[in-house]
Amino acid sequence: MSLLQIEELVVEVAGQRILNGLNLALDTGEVHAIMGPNGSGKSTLANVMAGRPGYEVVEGRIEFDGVELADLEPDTRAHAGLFLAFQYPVEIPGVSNMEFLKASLDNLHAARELEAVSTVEFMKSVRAIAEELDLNPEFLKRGVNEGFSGGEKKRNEILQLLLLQPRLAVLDETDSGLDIDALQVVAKGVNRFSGPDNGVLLITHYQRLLDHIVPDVVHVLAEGRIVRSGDKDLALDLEAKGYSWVVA
Amino acid sequence: MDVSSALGQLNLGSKPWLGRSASLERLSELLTGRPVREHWKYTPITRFVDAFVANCATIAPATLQLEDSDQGGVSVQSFNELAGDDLAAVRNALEGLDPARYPFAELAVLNDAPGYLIKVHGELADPISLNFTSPQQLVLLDVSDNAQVTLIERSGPSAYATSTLLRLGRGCRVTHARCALDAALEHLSLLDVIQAADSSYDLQQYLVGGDKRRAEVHLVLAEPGAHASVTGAYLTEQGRHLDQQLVVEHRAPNTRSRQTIHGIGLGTSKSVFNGRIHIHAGASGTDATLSNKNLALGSATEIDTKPELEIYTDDVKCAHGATVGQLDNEQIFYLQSRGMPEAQARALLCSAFVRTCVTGALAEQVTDRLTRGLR
Repeated sequence: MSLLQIEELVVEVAGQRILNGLNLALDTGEVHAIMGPNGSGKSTLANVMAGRPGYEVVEGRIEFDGVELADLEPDTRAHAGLFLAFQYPVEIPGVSNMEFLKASLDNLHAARELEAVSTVEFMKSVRAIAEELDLNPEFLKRGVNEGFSGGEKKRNEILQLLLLQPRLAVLDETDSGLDIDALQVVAKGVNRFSGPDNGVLLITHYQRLLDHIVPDVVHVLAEGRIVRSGDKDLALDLEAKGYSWVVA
Repeated sequence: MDVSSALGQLNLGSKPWLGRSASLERLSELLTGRPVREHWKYTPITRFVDAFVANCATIAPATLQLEDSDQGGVSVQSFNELAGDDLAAVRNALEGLDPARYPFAELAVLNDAPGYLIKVHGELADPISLNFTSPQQLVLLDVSDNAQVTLIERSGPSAYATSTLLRLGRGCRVTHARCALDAALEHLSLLDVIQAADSSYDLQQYLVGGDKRRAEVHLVLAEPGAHASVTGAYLTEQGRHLDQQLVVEHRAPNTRSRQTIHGIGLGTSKSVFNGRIHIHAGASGTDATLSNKNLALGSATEIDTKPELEIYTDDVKCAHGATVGQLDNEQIFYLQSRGMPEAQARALLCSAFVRTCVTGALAEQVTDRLTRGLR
């Protein structure tokens, strides 16, 4: 059984059909990349998986670890091991990063019936991850993403990924808006996360991220469905030739 | 019952020292005058008069609890013991209040409510705590030039009509944390502050709604260089009512005021916020801001907020804003996507919204109370 199994998925947003019979299977230990032109439905796929309100599954199924996701609340999906790195992480003034991260971890541990993490252990691991991602530990005291630059917000997403240790990470254009240094840091984080017990679904516009995170499978999403899948060389072809040759 | 006949039931003592011909007839006229005054629009005064009359019978003797008042630099006298300049100070303070707007301070004096004159000199190391436990009470706090003090004022559930009058001397610095966190039945509070030159006053005010609760704050920056800041938060729970009226008067040049107040209304509650900045002629160089933000979280929550500016001088900086909104769904989704149940996400966002206005000596107590209410 695949970690993620999407079958004939049809999704509407505000009555408009965005995904139109999408099929995808991802196993543990795999990294898949989804590429595609603007408006093809990449972010819709990420959002519908995470349960964002307004994204309606009209037909088909999204099965995660054998469980149908469509009827679950976003927090229950997180408890099951799904993680979405947001394309545009929201700012939450007044809630400190520290408080937010600790509450997230506590909720996940409680849901997974794991032992609670002490504040000391928590601080230690957060600081270690922050250092790895070149994030000033002072950020812990600030409001969630408050006043962060685009790069800092994305690094904060990766920090959460490494701290919360989900089973499947969906990264929605995490590379967009990053300079080359930040891109490398983010890629390093994703590579450190990626392992035999989890999966990664990378949604990206550009091949350059895939220089740093090598995917097992590359899919092309167009007009709401996967129109072609291949190995990492497919991304190079797309970079060289554009999308027109795969999108009929 | 109308106001006149309600007041007619009172058997009030005469106070010859209160020079301004304090009389029931005059107050009754003022209170029943037509048209109905704007500031009583959302909370009819009749309701309070009835409750005031009902409370007169239960008036307790002196029950002002003063902690830490035995330190040097503080003296406390009952109004009944006063003579000479001290009595004149109390009389002046009471006569300075607009009786049509703040009638209950005078009524309480006529009703022999406990009243205290507290004088503060020098720099006080420990805060002064005022605990209002009696239904009706008055305090006049006279802070001398260059003194420094922190006041902590709490109104308990039995407080009905309380008046706190502050007179701040030149260059003094006063921090005033005040709260009424019990949902009392009816509660009227008045805070009236007059600041002399270069004084600094920092008010932190925290309220929850009651059956009917009205909180009046009147700050006067009377002399050049005075500075006032108001930070506040409030929560109006299901079925509760809270009416706040804030007036800041800039009467002298180069005075500055800052007001930031956040509130949350739940269920079928009703919150009223009226914040007026009045800049008098000649108060050039005034710098004043007022921001009131609200979250209306029930489908039938009512929040009436109105910032008002009245400006009679050209050379001023003045900004005001008021908002009523709801929680941001993007923020809720973000927190949920990290494993937080929706109810917890909402509570966290609400407490973050008020927390930016919770500071100072009462912060912990206030945070606990607000968090409990938001759960």
